[in-house]
Amino acid sequence: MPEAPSARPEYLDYSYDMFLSSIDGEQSEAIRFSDWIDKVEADGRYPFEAARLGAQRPATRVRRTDGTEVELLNFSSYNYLGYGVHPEVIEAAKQALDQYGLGACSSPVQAGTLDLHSQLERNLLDFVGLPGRGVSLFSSGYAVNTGTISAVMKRRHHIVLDKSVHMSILEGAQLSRAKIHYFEHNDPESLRTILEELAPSGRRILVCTEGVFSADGDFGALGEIVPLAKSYGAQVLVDEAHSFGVAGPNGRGVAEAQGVLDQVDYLVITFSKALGGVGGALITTHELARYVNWYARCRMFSCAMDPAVTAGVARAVELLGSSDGDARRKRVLANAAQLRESLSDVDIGPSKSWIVPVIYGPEDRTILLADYLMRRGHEGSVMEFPAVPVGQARIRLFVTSEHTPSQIQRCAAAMHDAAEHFGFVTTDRREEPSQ
Amino acid sequence: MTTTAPADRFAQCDGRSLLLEWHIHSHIFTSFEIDYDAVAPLVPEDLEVVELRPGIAIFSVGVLSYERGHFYENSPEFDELVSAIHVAPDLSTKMPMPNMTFFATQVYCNSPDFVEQEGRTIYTPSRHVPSLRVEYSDDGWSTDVSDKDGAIFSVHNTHPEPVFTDSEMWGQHFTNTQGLQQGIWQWDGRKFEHMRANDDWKLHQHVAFGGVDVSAVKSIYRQMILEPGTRCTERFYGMRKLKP
Repeated sequence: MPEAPSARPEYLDYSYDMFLSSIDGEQSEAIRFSDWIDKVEADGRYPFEAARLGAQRPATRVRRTDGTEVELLNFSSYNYLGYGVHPEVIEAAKQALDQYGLGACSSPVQAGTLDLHSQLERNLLDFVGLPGRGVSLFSSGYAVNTGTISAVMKRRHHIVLDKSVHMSILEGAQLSRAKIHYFEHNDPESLRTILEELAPSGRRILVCTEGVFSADGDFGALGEIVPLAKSYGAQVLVDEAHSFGVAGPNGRGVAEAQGVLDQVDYLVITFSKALGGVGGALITTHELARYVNWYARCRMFSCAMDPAVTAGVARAVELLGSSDGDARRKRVLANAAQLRESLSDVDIGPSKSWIVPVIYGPEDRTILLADYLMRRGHEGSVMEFPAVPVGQARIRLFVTSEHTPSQIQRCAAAMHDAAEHFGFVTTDRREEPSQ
Repeated sequence: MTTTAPADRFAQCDGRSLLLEWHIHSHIFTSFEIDYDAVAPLVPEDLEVVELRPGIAIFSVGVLSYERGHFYENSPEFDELVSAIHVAPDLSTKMPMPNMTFFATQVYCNSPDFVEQEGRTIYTPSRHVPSLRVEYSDDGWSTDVSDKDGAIFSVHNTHPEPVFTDSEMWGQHFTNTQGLQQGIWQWDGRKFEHMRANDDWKLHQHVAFGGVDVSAVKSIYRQMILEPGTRCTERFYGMRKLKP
């Protein structure tokens, strides 16, 4: 095999897509991917999968895979409102653990439903202000989309997706075997063109989009897209994974902020972002929730949410609807605005939210940059091609209500330092954030 | 990676000899999103079409213009138009990780020497088309391709801020003209790649695309352009027969 002439390691040029598949019978993609990790680790640069040694707080300690421990300023986990470590949430989880034990031990439609699940469903409906609706709980946010879409859409139907939707929506659409169409990201006119063509067929159409897109941190144009889809007789699924609890006057999401919450047919939320837990829920009509409970295969054939997390999330939802939630929302929005403003000489794309990407460009910087930051006590969430366009690799910073102004300043300073070191300082300014 | 390596670094790959080394002065490579169902039937069943998103495959059209003197002293410059569907590689091959892997549906070229040599050595579905005409804009960012039957393809780059960097890429290609065969290619030069949305392109229904129904093309996925005024090198290694 030809060797590269310089000392620059070849693994820097390898990206995620290169290992996706191999046609040989030996699973060479797995062997070569594992070899790639070995080589990065051997150079002491592997920044991924560092084990947390405590809770997901703004300051945390991690152990890297080479055994070294680092104190980190944490901008790489969600827990947007800090409820994952809220004392009342933890206490509720502890009590549930004592009372109900470790797991639900059955499918929710069989023996796995606990009264805690019913309580969580009521809390969610109270919080979103849609009392006539139904709720279907899932053990993961990912499963809400794969389970729901594949349950309600079938081969003869049409699914129309924003090009930037999350992988869980893509996989749900694929599982359904419906015909999949894509509209340009956040572009109502592109959607209209597709719906014009599909609507006369009279077949079921589902349009899927999101409240906040996690690669860019931009808001879905729900105020335009939802009514447009409805005007063509389509149903609409909105994934508010990153926006539930944070966006909108009452924290009900971007659909609330843009005045279309009651028009959304399938409202998808997750418990791992603003609520700091795990799991997710579909909020839809009473009839559809019942149907999904039984026909979403990944729900029907897996165990119900565990008692401790269910109770903790139920308490977090109560807090979300209280003055405590209001205060945390204000803090996270102010913190996000401070970070965006402080990142004046790097490219943060169209971000207007609490997800702030710092775009550093070429993919071959990823390992070096992540390692550089971690060794200086900073961590974000890296994302590169094919998840984002080639040459627009980025480190996403997740802002929470629990970050302090000085921590945000330190984070911004670290990004400036990295930008100078790796050469991605820019003088371009973005439009001023809003919403 | 840069190309300051000694020449013999490229003498062999996976135990296969270097067969072809081309020097190219203009190269625009454009990948399109296309309906999976439109291209999958064109690919041998032993291969796996890359699915970018559910239902979406990648179809690429490359325009290459070669320097003088490849076949004999002062042999003329010539142009190539290659159409290819992206497929999964064979990662058991001992080579640097492939950036891209293709199944070529058609190769058009206005050099009979090129067609003869490629067909004999790497079994590409090459066709000699004397009327193939490739025109570039003055800035080197656009190309219009046609033959005696009319327009084939035109594409324009709309990225306003190209940044060219030295690059080295490796890849694989499969052909099925003499049984299913796998080959290795390598490319180095100064290129710029981007995925900026671009409506400034046109694919005409034409046999040059080897049976691909270009009405199934959705949009540009990715563009790669050789820095105008520079040259790149493309190398091909020996083929491995996978199936008779």
